[in-house]
Amino acid sequence: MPDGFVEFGRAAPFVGIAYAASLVVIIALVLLISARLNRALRADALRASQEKEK
Amino acid sequence: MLSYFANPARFEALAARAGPVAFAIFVLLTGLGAAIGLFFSPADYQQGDSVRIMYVHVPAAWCALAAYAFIAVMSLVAFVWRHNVADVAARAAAAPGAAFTALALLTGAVWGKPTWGAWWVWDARLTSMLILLFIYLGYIAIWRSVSNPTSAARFARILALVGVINLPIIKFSVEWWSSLHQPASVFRSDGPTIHSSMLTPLMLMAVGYTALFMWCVFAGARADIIERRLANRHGRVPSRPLRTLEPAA
Repeated sequence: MPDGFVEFGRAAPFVGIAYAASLVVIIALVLLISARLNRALRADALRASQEKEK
Repeated sequence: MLSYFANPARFEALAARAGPVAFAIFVLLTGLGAAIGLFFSPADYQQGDSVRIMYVHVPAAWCALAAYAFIAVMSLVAFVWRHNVADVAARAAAAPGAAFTALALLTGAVWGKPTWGAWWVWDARLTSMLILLFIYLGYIAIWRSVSNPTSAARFARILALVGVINLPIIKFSVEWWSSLHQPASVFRSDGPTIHSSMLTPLMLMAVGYTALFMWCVFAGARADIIERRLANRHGRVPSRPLRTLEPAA
């Protein structure tokens, strides 16, 4: 078995954890901020339509 | 320039246009940078493949520091020129800043185990980054816990400006104290010491993360401006949950 393959096998779990953690944190951040923005936009649109009806 | 964007309507319009562009840049560059970093860049002669953690760790640490510097500058602008949008932008930068700091600490721990043999050491660089995370959490806590928005803004600005002292400590900690953490290898007076095959994915990821940070600021600030506008029109406190403005199902 080539040395490089052994080395990657040893580092792979750490590399995998680091990339997976980054992906999870970034997705969570994007979802949280998107949810807040969407809620604000919905409330704004709702308020605008209510004012138009009046 | 500052006065131009101090108008919430103008800033909201800018955020609505620039936000999607920033997000597209983030997806493109981060995807490309991660692919090159994982599959095409070479392994390090000493660290082997664990060096690939650098492509997610270093940009997160840079963005953590840049986000705090942004908060400090916006707080100063809000203090001096009384621009409310500066407060809004600073507040919007806190969550991504804290997330990047947590990510830098987390990926640093995962990188530390195969290279140093330990997940964590009470090293000057690591400890000052942990303090940065606590400052971020304190800053977010002030905005969320102080009910009067004017007082919250004042306390948050003071914390942001006092906490800025931690930035040079983080930056120069590896030079001032004996440290396990390696010294700067990109932003050096004599130029980067990293080979271009590693520097390219690193910079792609760094620009991608910066675009993500910009998207977070644009989207968060836009939401905040809308919430404040609704609150001002309808006499509600901005920090109150927005769902109270929605009709009952």
